[in-house]
Amino acid sequence: MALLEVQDLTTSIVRRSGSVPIIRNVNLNVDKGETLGIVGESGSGKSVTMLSVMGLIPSPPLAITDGAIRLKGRDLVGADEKTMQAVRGADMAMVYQDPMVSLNPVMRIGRQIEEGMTAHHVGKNEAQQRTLEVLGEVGIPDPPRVRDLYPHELSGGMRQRVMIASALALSPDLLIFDEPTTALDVTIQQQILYLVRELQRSTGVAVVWITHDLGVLARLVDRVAVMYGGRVVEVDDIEPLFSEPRHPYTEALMASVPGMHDDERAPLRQIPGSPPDVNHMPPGCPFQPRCEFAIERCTREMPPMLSHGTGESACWVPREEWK
Amino acid sequence: MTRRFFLKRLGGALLTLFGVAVFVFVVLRLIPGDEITAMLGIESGTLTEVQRRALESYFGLDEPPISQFFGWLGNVMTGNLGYSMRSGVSVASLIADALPVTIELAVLSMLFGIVIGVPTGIFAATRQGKAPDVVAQSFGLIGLAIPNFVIGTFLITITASQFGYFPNAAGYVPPWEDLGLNLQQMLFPAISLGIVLAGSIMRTMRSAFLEVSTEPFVRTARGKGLSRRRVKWVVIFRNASIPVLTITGIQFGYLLGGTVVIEQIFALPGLGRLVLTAINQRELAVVQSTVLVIAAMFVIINLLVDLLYARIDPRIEIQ
Repeated sequence: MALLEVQDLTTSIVRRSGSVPIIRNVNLNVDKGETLGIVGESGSGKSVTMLSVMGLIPSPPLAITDGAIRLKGRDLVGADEKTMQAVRGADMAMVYQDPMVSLNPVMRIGRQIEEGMTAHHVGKNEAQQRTLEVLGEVGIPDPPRVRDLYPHELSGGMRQRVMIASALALSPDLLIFDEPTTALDVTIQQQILYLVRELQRSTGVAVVWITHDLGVLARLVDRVAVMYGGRVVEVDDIEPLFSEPRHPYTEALMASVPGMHDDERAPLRQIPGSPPDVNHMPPGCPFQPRCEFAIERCTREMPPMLSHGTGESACWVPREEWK
Repeated sequence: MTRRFFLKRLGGALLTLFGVAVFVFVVLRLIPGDEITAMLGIESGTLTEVQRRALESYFGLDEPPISQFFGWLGNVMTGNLGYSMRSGVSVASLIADALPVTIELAVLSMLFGIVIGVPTGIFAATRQGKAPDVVAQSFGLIGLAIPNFVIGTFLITITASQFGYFPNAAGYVPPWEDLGLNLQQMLFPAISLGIVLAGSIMRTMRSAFLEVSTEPFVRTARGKGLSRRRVKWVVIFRNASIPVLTITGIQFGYLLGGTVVIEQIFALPGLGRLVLTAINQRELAVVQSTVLVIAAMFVIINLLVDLLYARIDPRIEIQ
């Protein structure tokens, strides 16, 4: 049994006038200790997918309208608030995109980490002890001093370490990182990446890493799910995905990353057109209007996810026929 | 709280007070008429040169304005606020009589405003867009829109003329003489002022609560598995109370300045009435010193609010 199973998950904007799905039939599996990357452009639904798992989508207007989410076999869709509270922080924890605004500005660092533990019935003394421990684990120098600081007294990188420490406090089985390094300097990015990789190795925690940066994934994850227009269009192990992508979008995404040895006078390659708007989803495959290999069928029918070797992809046109 | 922060704010406060002193002094000298004309009326025109000189020197009017100003300021510093020319009573004792009335009224109005405004603001925010929110917001707007003297007059009209109940008619009774009667006398004026406060506090509380609710750190808190109650009170409320504190502080400062109209309607001998009467009677010494005391209270309240701020929001010191 996978640690996390997401089955046919659909999350929609629900309004009186009707509901508009923003992620559709998403399937994901994360095994114990596995590291899954979710990659896609902004608006592709990667954050919404994982916020749905955490039960943290802004509701209303968002709501899970279909599918199942199982964490350690327990279904979380339709679970009551009490159950979700017990699961959040303890079984799975999330680290968010912008550490500058993700910490409570009027509460000391230590208290913020402790309150997560006391909410799960950890004793006060034990929580304080553990706070110093996790602050040390994430490489914060002088934890007893930092514990008594306010967020604004720390740099962005330090704040993100605090967020990670807070997520680690109750030793969850699953850590979700939502573009945790996007708001940080490149050098700090490297440090955070290195830190998470080390934590993953030492604790065996399963990690879901959301990013739009393929380069980051190569150094961190075992498996990648590529999302486009609210759907997962390809899932594969990192090696085959990079060497032989099965979906034209994955291929295009990789081609658009400038390489070290590119001819510097050649124009930067980009994917023509822009990502679809949830209110005006194209018929058939969401990528079809921007796809250079699209055939007539793509505009009519959404291709199903088909298995091939190590992965699955949703495209009517096999890789061999791309030209 | 650093010493530097406190000293900086204190310095600013003293500078403000000095500015107020200069302003009040100059304005009162610009108004036509001085102590002599105020005392003698048109008969001051019949004074002989010698009599006029004698009076001018008695009031200190023969000295240059600069030395009059610093003479007054020097006296104020040593605790001598001057004397009422008509009654000969010291301004300090006039203020000492009026201040408790004003403070009691201000505190009661403030309490009314907070007790009504804060819970309804939160109540409305947590039901955003639904019927209770719309109702609460409408009442808030009505409270803000109706001038307090209209509410005051309305209350008096209903209770006094319909039920013959007007506790203020007998004249003001201090709380240490008859607490029950005193509170009855304070009830309507406090409600009149408090309704307006409740309106603005409610609206500020509501919008601050809604704004903070969408902050990413609130999601972080929920993501840690905190209960809804804790998220609401410990995370959102504490952050949302900062703007509420600001407007409450400012309003309280205004209230301490005396509320001329409400004190007039309910016959309360507070600071507002003291100044108003003094202005009508050209009691320059009384007006001058009382306004300075009012300004001082305003400044002190603001200073306290600033300090309270720094306790609630650790970022304040840095900015």
